[in-house]
Amino acid sequence: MSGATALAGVGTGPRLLAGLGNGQRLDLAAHLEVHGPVTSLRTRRRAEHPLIEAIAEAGVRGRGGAGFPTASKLRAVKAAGRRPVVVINGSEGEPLSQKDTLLLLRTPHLVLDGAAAVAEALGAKEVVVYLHRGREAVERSVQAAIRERDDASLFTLVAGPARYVAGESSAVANFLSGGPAIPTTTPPRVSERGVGGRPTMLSNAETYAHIGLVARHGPEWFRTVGTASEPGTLLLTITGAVQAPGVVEVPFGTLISTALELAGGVSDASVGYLLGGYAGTWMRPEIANDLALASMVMRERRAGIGVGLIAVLPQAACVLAETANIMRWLANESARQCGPCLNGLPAIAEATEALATGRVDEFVLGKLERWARMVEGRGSCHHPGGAVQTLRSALDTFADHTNQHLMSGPCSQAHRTWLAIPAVPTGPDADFR
Amino acid sequence: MSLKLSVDWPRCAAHGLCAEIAPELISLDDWGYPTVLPGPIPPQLVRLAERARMACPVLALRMEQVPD
Repeated sequence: MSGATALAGVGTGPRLLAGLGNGQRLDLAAHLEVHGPVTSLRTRRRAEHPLIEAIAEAGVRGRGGAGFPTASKLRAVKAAGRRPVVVINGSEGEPLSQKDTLLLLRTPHLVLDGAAAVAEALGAKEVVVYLHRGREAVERSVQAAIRERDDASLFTLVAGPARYVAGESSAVANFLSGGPAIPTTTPPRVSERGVGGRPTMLSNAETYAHIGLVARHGPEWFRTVGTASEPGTLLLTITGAVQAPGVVEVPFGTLISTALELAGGVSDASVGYLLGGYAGTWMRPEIANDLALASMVMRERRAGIGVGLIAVLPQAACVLAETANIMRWLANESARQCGPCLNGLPAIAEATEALATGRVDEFVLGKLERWARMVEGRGSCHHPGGAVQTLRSALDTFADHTNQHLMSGPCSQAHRTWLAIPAVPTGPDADFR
Repeated sequence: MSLKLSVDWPRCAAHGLCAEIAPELISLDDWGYPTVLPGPIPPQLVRLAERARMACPVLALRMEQVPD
């Protein structure tokens, strides 16, 4: 992996990234030295397992993009009755995101501790670490960490197709059940019926790392930083036109400008930031800088924290050209199983490309809005809706620039793009197998 | 409780019979895939919705009970 740097968090210092200065990797001994052992939590109400109670009181939310309360998911899995499976989703299919990869490479025991504690709380006998294929360094790190542990027999490592939607929870469960890694129709939810038909606790690697700390220090400690509705810290991947791109840890509620300073600050002027992920929100720097990393605040701006990506686009870039590339990539990454996504995303990609390169007619904006409405919320997962969010934010936020493309053809920057787009998959990945 | 239509998207293959039978409830998009009326099915259209559901060759139209 390139460029991932563990930088100090603000406020009380890093939690997940503690001990990771100077490129260190925490083996079991180093991990225990930094974080100490997991001790059993004291329970107050005894109505449920103390860890589930602690996670509920801590207010931990999932870090895979949806921000769902982790305790609610745990309770749903528990309520399903049968012996559950625990899955650590370390697939990190978001092209520029590095946070889960960083955790698994450098502090894998914190993630495994969280999952082991969850397995114990749920009475699960199996924890699957799910990765994208082709990330050998991550596989080696996780395998080495598992071998060091007393509870090594609890863990299995599985690598699935390196496709974006293959990391969606129902797609992961479908793959681990022997099927292709494509999203399935919900309900049933994975928490009720997931891997092999069993209730499945599936969460992002970062979520388990936070649980690894809640299991040690309890909910009061967890809530000492962050906001009331989103306690604790979060990992951000900051990339693009900043001095020191990498992964940083900040408390929820931190201003985006403060987070960017931790990545060395914006290197020059920037035309806009892409927030949340490739299925995210474009925002002008002057608006985004003063925004707090808090879901309630960001929602008012039709944005979200997503997977914690902040991509800073340099001044000499065209948001429409970047968005066209992203639309084409998202269209290619469709599982091609739901009609609106299969047909709508390529149509949207083509029209956005036309807008970026100047082969436009007067109807292109109307067509884009029509197709955006036709794919939104129609399909078995949120893939098409995510694409539409990025598109709309580009057209709304950069309406002047869009008009310039419409009136006088493509801008001088439209011929080159900055944001990396993964290659079209081949081999078994092409079939989600 | 009331009834609501939904589409099982991976199953749907754009045959379009549902929209032909129940245009009051279902229209087709630019590619022939159904858009169902959001919200509960009006009581006088429940039988029509049921006919549309039964007509789907791949059983991709669902009718589900939802709380009011």
